[in-house]
Order: sequence, then structure tokens, then C-alpha cells
Amino acid sequence: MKRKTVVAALLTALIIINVVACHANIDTNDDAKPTKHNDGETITVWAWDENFNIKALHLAAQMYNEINPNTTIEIVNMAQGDVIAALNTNLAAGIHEGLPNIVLIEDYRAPGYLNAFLHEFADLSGIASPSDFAEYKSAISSINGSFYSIPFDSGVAAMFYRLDLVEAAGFTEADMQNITWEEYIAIGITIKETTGVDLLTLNPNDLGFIRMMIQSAGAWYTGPGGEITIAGNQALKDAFDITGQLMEADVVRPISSWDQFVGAFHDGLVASVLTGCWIAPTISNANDQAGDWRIAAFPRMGANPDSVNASALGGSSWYVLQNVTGVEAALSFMEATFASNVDLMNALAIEINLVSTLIAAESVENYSLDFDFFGGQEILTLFAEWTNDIPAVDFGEHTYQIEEILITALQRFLNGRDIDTLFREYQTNAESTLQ
Amino acid sequence: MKIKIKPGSIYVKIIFPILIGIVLLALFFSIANTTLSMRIFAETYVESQKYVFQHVEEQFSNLYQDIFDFSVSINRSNAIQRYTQGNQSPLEAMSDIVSMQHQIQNTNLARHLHVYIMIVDLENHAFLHNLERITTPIDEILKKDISQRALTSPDELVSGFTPQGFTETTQNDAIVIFAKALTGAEYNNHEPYGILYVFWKESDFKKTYSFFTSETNNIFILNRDHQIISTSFPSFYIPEKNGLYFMEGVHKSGYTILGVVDPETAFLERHDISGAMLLAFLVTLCIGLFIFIIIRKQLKPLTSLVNVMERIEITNMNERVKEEGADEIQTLTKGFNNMLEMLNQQFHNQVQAQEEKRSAEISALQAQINPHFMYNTLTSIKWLIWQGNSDKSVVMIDAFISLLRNTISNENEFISVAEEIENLRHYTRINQMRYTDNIHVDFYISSNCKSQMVPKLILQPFLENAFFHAFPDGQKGNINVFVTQEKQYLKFEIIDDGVGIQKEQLLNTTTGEYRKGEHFTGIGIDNVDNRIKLIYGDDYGIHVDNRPKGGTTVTIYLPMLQSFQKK
Repeated sequence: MKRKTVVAALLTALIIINVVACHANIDTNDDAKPTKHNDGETITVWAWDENFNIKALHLAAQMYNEINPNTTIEIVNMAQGDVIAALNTNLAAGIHEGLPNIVLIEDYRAPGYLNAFLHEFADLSGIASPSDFAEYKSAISSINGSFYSIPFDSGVAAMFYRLDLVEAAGFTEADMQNITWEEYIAIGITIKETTGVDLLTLNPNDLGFIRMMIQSAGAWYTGPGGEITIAGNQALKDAFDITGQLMEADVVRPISSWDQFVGAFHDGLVASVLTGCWIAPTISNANDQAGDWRIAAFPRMGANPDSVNASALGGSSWYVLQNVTGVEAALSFMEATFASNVDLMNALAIEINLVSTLIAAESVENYSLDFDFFGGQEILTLFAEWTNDIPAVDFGEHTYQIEEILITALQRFLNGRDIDTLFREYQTNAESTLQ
Repeated sequence: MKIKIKPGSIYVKIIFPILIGIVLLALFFSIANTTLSMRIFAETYVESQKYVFQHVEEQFSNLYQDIFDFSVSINRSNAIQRYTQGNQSPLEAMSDIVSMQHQIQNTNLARHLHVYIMIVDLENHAFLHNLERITTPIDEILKKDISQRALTSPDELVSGFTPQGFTETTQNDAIVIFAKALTGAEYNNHEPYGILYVFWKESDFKKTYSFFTSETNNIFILNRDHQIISTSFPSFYIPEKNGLYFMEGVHKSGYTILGVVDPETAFLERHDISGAMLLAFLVTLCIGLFIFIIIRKQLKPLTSLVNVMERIEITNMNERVKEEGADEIQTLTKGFNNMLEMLNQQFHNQVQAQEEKRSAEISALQAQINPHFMYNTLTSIKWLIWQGNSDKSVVMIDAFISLLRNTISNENEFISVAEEIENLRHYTRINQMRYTDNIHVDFYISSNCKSQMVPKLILQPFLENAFFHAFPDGQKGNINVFVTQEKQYLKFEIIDDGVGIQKEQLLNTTTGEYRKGEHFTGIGIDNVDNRIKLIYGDDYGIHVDNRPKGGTTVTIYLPMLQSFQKK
């Protein structure tokens, strides 16, 4: 009895000490606890441009949450460069942690991603059909009967011009309609002579203007099979030529940044802006210029018979990453918003002057609003019209890489090199770099 | 099992010190353990955080190198200087713009995420590498402290923290900014023409190291002027608190990376101290209870020993303690029981001896008939004979003979009431003949009392007393003796109608006051009460009732018991 008691007491004492000790020594590896989601699901969307894409997302999320309050939509505003860098790094490494459910990808870059990482993107044919969207957009992500994107903004190219300056140079609004580049340059020369204002800005590091010109002729840096087509590319040659003419006419204001690009037309340093329709809200920000601006169809290249008065610049589409948790919720969000929601498009037409590529949205009432800033023009209707005329081209996988190379080519051309020799040289150069 | 704990009890004296000891022990071990664990934890934690710190330091070092290299290459760029200063033809400008882009793109810095690169010349031209607008007017940017510092020390890469950025996406965010005055490619030219700014949103800059930090391990980056330019800590000051570990790395550029580790909080975050304490407390409680029960069990025989001792007066030492429990207590109990046994034995022996002595004494006194009584009686008889009153003398002699036979010859201490009364009759007859016929004595006995046994000569002293003291000066009177049953008592009443006497007087009356020949035996009234109590106990005895005008009543109570025998 006595011995038992002693043993029991000793054991108990050992137990306390051990329990206390063990408790205190529990290892510290609980740092990497996964953050627990709330009862509802959270999906993440990456996009850039606070005033355009991000605004559109917020509105879409708001509409979606009215029906599905349990899904949290986390909208991340990142610079496009950062989106690309993060996407490239993670997809190449096969790491899905930290990637979003939905990502906005610029159309020029889309073929590159789809080619390299097709298995990463969800097939959206279940929630949308390519025929629901403008053909030049849906063609980009339709591969073997699957559909990988929800096309978003049109990016239809337009000529924004200062009617006051044009008129000061002795031209009328009618003189600006469906003109050629050659006519445009001639008007520009007169404007410069009469007002001292340059015709347009050019950023030699951003060949967007070349892209718009060649697309107006249904051409691209690459052919239908993805082959590089610099040498013998008539449209490209014509585009370079027009650039040369612009420089020669001395109506160009060279710029090096977005800040200078916007600054130039806000500060009245250029008489026109030739770019995608998405610039309209930015132009409209300059309240002191209200009523001075008009829009007209993008110029065609007079020397090129294929060129039409329609083109595009930029424009993006939504992609769903299928290896990131939350695919179902992401698909549901897309289906209810950008894939079909005409009301959303109607609201976005006002909010961000969106020209949707959703065909069903073409007739939304807000498109017919006239914009006082643009002298009462129904700009959205015009954009929508021009959108239908945009020649579809296959962007290929290497748009920006080829452009990187062509930046120096253009400089050398402007400095007097023979264009055919240059193109042959750069054809070889590009092929050896990219293929 | 009822628990009664008095402050002075053995429970309190044993269990409380033990319990306090256990609690202190538990407390000591808990604290010692926690302290030890905390120290071990702190050491390993700080050690592990050192790696984090080194990593951050290395990262910062790389980043700084990238910024530095970038600033050098931008500063050396003729194209940038030319373009920034303007004055070229559009064609030349374009060429410079392309060169500038190349120069920026082909640096390590341009590959960093979230970085903003801005070049401002002193003529208020600005270049922002990022695709957004500059929102702060250039002249204001140039007035900022960071710009002024860059211009004052044109050879240095300066840095700082600004609560608001200069661009669309940073205007509402704090930024970490590095700045370098641009002086152009020529070596000895220190006259700045512009400033290069490299900045991050502080929240983005933090991301380069905050992945490795936590609430208990913070990093501070201080510039050459010891201003905090970035920190993972929620506020821009270095916390001060005991138990913090500081790790400081001074970069060759003069920047300081400070790691502040708080192992104590980290420990508390990871370990539920109060839970452990609660557990220790509960275990202590269980052990305490366990010990309490054990001790109680061990002390129970002691308690019953104490209880028995407390009741010893009531139980007349007849209760015994159960022998159980620990050896020592068993010995104690056994000893106590033995002692009680012996004491009891001794007591009984003594009482018996006393009683024997007493009854021997009484027997002796009873047996000892006063010789004077005999002389006087015989002298009276002689006188009767001499007077020729032979009838009377024969009666007196008969009475005397019967009296002697019953008292001396009968050796029994107890006799029946009938015999006792018979003796009294003889005694009365002798006295009446010897002294006077004036005192008349009557006896009334209930028939059911006749056979009751009583101590011999128990009534004689009272009758004798009444005879000689109740009727002074030859007064006439009556003495009545009643023997009746009253409830469980056998009641004797000796009632006289004489002068009356107090009980004290009666009992204190000494033998000496009597005339020598009057006493029949050596037993006085004073003995009777003692004798009764000795034989029957305190419930019995003598009661004297004095009636001032009507004499005295002496009542004697004895037990009424057919078979009452001496215990």
C-alpha cells in the first residue's frame, strides 16, 4: 500500500513536469499556416489601368455580388509589366500559388501564352461561344474548337483630332473623314504652319502606330502559319514609309513615355491622337478642351490598296487559370458578367466609355449617347461601327519580340537606310532570335 | 466519512504544508520549465531569424547594387543627357529616346517588380518610365527634401521615405525613394542637370523582405542619415522593450539594416502558457486531493483514537479503539487500549477495596453494640426484678434477647423489612420500659414491602434520635414509622410530632452529644446517608422535612426491587 502510494506520487509528479515541459516545447513550425478562407470563396483577378479595366471589374464584382454575396472578388491592380512578369515566372515554374483566378491579357500577348501554356487556361466554351464576340477578337483564343478567353474591350483605332486647330488651318470636319495618311500628313503640315502645333506624338519605343497601320491592311509581323514576315511585307514597308513622311514633314512630337504622351494632348501640344478608342476618357479629362475634340475613322494607307479606314490597338481579354483553386467560382463570375451581361456593358459604356466586343451589347442604349466633349458625336456608336470593319489578323506569338527588333530598324530607316536591305537583314535577325 | 477540519487539527498541520509544498513545487517547475523553454526557444528563434536577417541583408545589398549600377549607367548616358536637356531635332530625339529605352531596359533594376523610374531635368522636363502620369508638378518634386539632398551631394545615391508618391498610382501611397543627381558622362563635372529617381510604393518595397518577417521579427532599413526608409513594423519607429534582440548590418553604402527580434512575444504567440499553467494547476489539484485522501486514510485511526479519548468520561473507559492504520498509530492505539484496560482494572480494584473496607467498617460498627446500652438495659432489668415486676422484666429480657440475636448473631448485612421493623419494636419496647411510656411508637408497613431487603439497622438511628431529641422534658408524643412503595422507590418515613430539627443539625449531631448509654450501635445518623449512597447510588438517600409546629419527617428512599442485591 505504502509503496504503491509512493510510486503513484512519483509518476504523477513526472507527468506534471513532462506535460508542462512538452507543452512548452511544442515545435515552432506552425508559421506556415494556410490562411483560412471565409465561408464563401474568394477569387482573385489581376488587371491594370485603374481608370478602365479596374473600374470595369469593380462594377462587374458589384453586380455579381448582388446575386452571389458569398463570393469575394479580390481585384488586384498591377502594372501590365508586373502582370506579365509574374505570369511568366509562375507559369514557367509551374507554381500556381500566388497566381490569380482570372487575368487580363492583352490580345497581342495572348497567342504567346496560349501556345506555351495552353493547359493552364480553362476552356470557356462552356460559358461563352466565340460567335458571341467580334470575330477579330474571338479568333485569337479559338483553338481546335475550344475557346479560351472572354473578349473584353475593342481597342478599335480612331483618329481623335482638335477641330479648332484643324479649322484654324482652314479645314473642316468633313475633310477628316475616311482620309488617307498622305492626306492626314498634308493637313498636319498646314496646321503646323498656321498654329505651330505638331500633328501627333510618336514614341519610337512603341510601334503601336506601325501595328495600327499594318492591321488596317490586314497584315502583321507574322503570317498565318506564325512565320515572320518582315522581308517583303508591303504593308509594313508602307507603314515605315509613312513614318518617314511624318518625320520629313516635321509634324511629329517625339515622346518617350506615357506621361509625355498624355501630357502632349492635355497641354495642347499636338492636334491629333491616333490610338485605340480606350483613350477617349483620358482625352475627356482635359475639361478646358471640351468641345474642341472630334473623332474620325483611322486613316488608311493610300499607297496600300488593302488598307481600310479601320484598325485596332490594344484591347484585352479575360483568361481563367484552370490550375488555381476556385475555377468554378471564377467561371461563374465570368459567365454572369463579361461573357453575357449586356446591362454591365451598358453601364460600362457610360462609366469608362467601353466599346464592348460582345455582339449582343452593340445595341445597348448608352452607345447612342452623344458626348458633348466630342461636339455631340455618338462616339460609342462610331467605335462600334468601325469595330466591325477591323481586319482580323493572326498576331502570332512574338508581336512584342519582333517589335523590339523593329524599333532599331525604324531608327535606321529614318536615318536613311534602304528599307528592303533593312527588312532582309531584320528578317534574318528576327528568325535567328525567335525561331 | 465526515470531514471536520479545525484550525489546530492534524489535517491542517500536515496537509497544508504538504499542499503548499506541492503548489510551490508545481509553480517552481512550471516557471523553471517555461523560463528554460523560453530561453531555449529564444536562442533558436534568434538563431533562425539571423538567417532571415542575412537573407534580407543580402537581398537589400543586391537591390542597392542594382539601383547603384543603374544610376551610374544613366548618369553616363549621353543620349539621356542630350534627350533630357532637349534641343535636338525630332529625329535625333527619337534616336536618343530609343537609346534611353535600351539603357533602361537592359539593366537589372528594370527587371524588379513594381519599380518606378523617373528622370527629371532641372528645366522641369520629366520622363516616367512607367505607363502612367506624373501627378506632382515637377517644380514641386524638385523642391522635395530628397531632391535637395541629391543635388547637394551629387556623387551620392540618396534615399528617403515620402508619404506620397509622385504618380497616378503612387500619389496616395507612401514611397521609398532613391535619388541620384545626374551630372553627365564627363568625370569631373559635378554640376547636375537633372535627377534620377527610383522608387517603390513602400508596401511593395516591403514585399522584397516582408515575406520573411513577422510580427515578432521586424526589419528596418535606415538610410545614411539614420532615417527609417522602410520597415515591416507597422510604425516608423524602432520599438524599445526588454528582451528584444537587435541585429544590425551596416551596408557599405552606409545604409543600416536593423533586425529586431522579439523572441518573448514569439514564444507567447506559439505557446499557450495559460493553458499549460491551468494544466499544471489541475494536476496539482489532483495530486493534492490524492495526498489528502491518503493522509486522511492514514490519520483516520488517530481521529477515532481522539474521539474515543474525548468520550472517555461518558463511556467510563469502556470503549476500545480499533487497531488499524500505520504501524506507529497501531502501536499508539494498542498502547492506549492497554492503558485503558489497566486503568479500568485498577479503578475497579480500588473501588472494590474501598467498598469492602467500608462495608467491613460498617459491619464492625453494626456488630459493635454499645456496652453502655447493654449495662443500662441490664440495670433497668435488674431494677424491674428488684421491684418484683417480674412480668415486665421478662418482657424486657425477651426484647433484649431478640434484639441481640437479630443484631449480633445475624451476620447478614441485609435483612427483610419485616425483620428490621421487628428489631425496631424490640428497641422501642426496651426504651419505653427504661425511660418513659410517654412516647408512643406505631409502625405501618405495606404488605408488599415486607419482604424487601434493606441494610441492617438502617432506620434505628432515626428512631433513636426522635426518641431522645424530639420530646424534651418528658413531653408526650408519637412517632410513626411508615414503609410504603412510591413508584420505584421503597419509602421509609419516620414522623414525629416533637419539636423538630433541621437536616444539617440532624446529620451533624455527633455521637458525643448523646449520653453514653443512649446509642445502640456505633452507627450514627451521619453514616446512614453515606451508607445508602454507597450501596445504591446517588439517586437514593435521606430527606428531612421539618414542620415547625409539628415535628420532623425523615424520609428515606431506597430502591424498590424484589430481587435487589448488592451490585
